[in-house]
Amino acid sequence: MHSDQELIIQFQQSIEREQSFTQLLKKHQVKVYHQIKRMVLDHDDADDIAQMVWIKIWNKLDGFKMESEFSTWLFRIAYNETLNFLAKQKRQGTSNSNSDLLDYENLSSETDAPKSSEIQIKLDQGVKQLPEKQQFVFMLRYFEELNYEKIASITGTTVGGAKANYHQAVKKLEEFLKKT
Amino acid sequence: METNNINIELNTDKLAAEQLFSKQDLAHFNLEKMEVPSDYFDTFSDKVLDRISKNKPSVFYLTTYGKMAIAAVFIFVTASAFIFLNNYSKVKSDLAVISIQDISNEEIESYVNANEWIAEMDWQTESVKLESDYSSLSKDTID
Repeated sequence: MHSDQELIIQFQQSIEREQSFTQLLKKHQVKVYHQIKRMVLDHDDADDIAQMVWIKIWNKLDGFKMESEFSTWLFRIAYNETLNFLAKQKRQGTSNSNSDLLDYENLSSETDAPKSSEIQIKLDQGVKQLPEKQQFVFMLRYFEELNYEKIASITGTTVGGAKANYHQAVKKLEEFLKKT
Repeated sequence: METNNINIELNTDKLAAEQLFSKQDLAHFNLEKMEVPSDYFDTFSDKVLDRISKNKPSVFYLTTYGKMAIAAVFIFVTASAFIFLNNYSKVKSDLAVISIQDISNEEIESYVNANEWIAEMDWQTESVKLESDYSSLSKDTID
């Protein structure tokens, strides 16, 4: 298995360009997709954004200077694409979040999946009411277990800013739970 | 040491969230978001590459020979321009050095013969002009 750096060099030197790109994609596609899906909820939207992210990677990989880790750069592009998508969705007034929450409740009761408890629904609603940046930071920290330096590079803030975002997210979730 | 600190920090942060929601709830939340259609990740790279090939801008790649040919043409054009400009200024300076003594009498005579009628016309125009200037002068001015 080649390292990210080796695959990038191969791509940049036009040695089996498609093959090295595919290997790079296969290494990271799951994490990127899940991070996007946690934000936009709908599979088709997440799929479309993920495709856009990888097309951008293809177009910009020649200029990647490896000053940061590839995964950090990749998540940063995913972060920007996701925020752009959500902003566009807000402008058009076509947010999927509410309908998806209803689907989620119905799906859980119909399938063998563990039944969604009241707290589950609240968690979903609570996370969804967080500002997008805090949502993203919360997911990266809790589920991807990234360190704050990496999160700060991805979201374009300072380490302190990233920490503050995480703790504000938790605080807001706490307040949301108290209110409901 | 640093890794330990990061791990401690991560556990503390996770604990903050787990005090609100149980680990199970958070895991369930994540699991639900992870659901994808079967074979999705197996076919994803093909979908991306397909879109890339459809949107690929026509990039103009130059081979080494192509680059050398362009460089050769550039050098040729620059050298030609340099030689031409150099010769042109040399011809100009050669002309500036020629004096009337260097021109033979035959050459001067043939030039005069060829241009005599022009000189005649110039002389007539000049004399008509002078006459009209004199007639416009008043007597007082002559006095």
